[in-house]
Amino acid sequence: MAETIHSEAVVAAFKRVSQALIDNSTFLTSLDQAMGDGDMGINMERIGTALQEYIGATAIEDIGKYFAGAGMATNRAAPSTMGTLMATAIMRAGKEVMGKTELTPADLAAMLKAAFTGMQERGKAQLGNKTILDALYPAGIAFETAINEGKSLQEAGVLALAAAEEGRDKVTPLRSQIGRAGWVGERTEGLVDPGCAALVTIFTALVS
Amino acid sequence: MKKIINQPKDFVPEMLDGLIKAHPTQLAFTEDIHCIVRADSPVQGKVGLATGGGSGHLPVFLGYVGQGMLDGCSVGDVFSSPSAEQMLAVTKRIDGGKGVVYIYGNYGGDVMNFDMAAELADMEGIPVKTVLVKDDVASAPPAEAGRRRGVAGMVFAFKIAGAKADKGGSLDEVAAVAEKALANIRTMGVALSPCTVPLAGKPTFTIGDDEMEIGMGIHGEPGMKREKLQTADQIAERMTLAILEDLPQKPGTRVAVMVNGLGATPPEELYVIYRKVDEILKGKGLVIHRAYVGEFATSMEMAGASLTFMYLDDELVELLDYPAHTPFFKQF
Repeated sequence: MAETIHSEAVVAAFKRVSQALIDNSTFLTSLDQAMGDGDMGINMERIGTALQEYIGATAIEDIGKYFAGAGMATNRAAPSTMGTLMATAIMRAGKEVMGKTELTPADLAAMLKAAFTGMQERGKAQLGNKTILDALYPAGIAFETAINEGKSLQEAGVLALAAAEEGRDKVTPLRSQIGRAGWVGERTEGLVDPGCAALVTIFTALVS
Repeated sequence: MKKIINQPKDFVPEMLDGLIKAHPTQLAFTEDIHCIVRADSPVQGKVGLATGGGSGHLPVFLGYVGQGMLDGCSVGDVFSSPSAEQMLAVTKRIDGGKGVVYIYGNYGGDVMNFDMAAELADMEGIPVKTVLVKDDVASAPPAEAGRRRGVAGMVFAFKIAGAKADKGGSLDEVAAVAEKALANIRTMGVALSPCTVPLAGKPTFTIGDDEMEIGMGIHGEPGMKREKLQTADQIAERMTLAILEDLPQKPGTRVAVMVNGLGATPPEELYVIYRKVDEILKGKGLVIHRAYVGEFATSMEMAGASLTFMYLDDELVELLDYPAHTPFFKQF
């Protein structure tokens, strides 16, 4: 019998993620300063704060619509590259479940896939370019596989987090090829990608 | 930092407030002051033209909102993209029933937000076409022209597309003529000193008193080469030849020339540059149809200049000569 994810659980997950983004802002900024323009943490904090305001001000019925609104709030708070990618991911995930008031684990897997596809279309990065996609893709696959194998939501979440961490570590030795970090070139080799780190932060909060 | 500002965080909204108050018959905004539109929008039965981008480049972007050019513009913080939501608000306000063309510079954040806005506009039943400006020859070699940044050449694209829309062009026609213009537009720039973003409080880069950077971007992105400052004639020749080499032309070709100051370089110096550009182009048999010398796309108080050519056929000549009337661009 598949578990059901009620809207209260969706709101609680948004709360955990938004708090984690705020709590990790200094850490993410320090990663971004080494290779980007150093605004990643500031933007993640803005997104976290905006999501908290959104959660406080918005009643949840249609989960898809709730995600759509959260995506817009994210974009409004931080129209930076990463902010826009996250907004896209949230909105595309919401589109998958438009009209639903509760979700199945299969819905969550579909949402993760849609989030990945949306981010890839929007940012036009390839796997291996050392971006957030390199953590999100394996996480989505691990989650879907676990759900298909009948594992519990919690188990699937833990496996997805492990896959995200592994994906992050796999691209750390590589050279960043996208955005401002792309201009920094070989000096990015060995540095943790801030986008991957942000994704791991989000999954850690989702699983906890 | 030595600037005439109030609180750094208020810089952009106060600048916008001043602009709207100074040009009340021409400019208005939606609920958000960062969403600037023509005061008479939407113009029914006309394709809407929107642009957008970070602040700090006046007259780009919003200075070209007006008759014969743009219908709307979303404005971000200094050097950062406005949000997709702001772009969508402009799109909805300026749609006169024939759809909207987005024309803006090729920068990551802007592209993502405009793509998202186009997706949202489509869901609301407004068809959108996107035209990306990639005119900076210094930002990537010809083989990678798709990666080039958009700089002052976008003003010519606004002019051409704006005229086509005003003359009743369809969504596809306006987008197509903007693409044609951009295929014939190239820009090259040189920077002598940096600018300071108010919220950052520090110059965007450092450069020696006796140095210049060839090909530097309008946000201080690295250029092709840093070297000793040369004379006006040498700089003018470097820029002219770089563009002619990127897009060679036969004698007799008509060309519109723009010598653009980046913010701190006085018009006198721009005319010294123009003098040499004029001499070289005429020496090669090109026909200068119109020359624009002044500030068109700046980087706040950055010193330096850029040179833009747009090669013209009959259609582009007609559209370039068409009247336009905006707060920063008047042609009768």
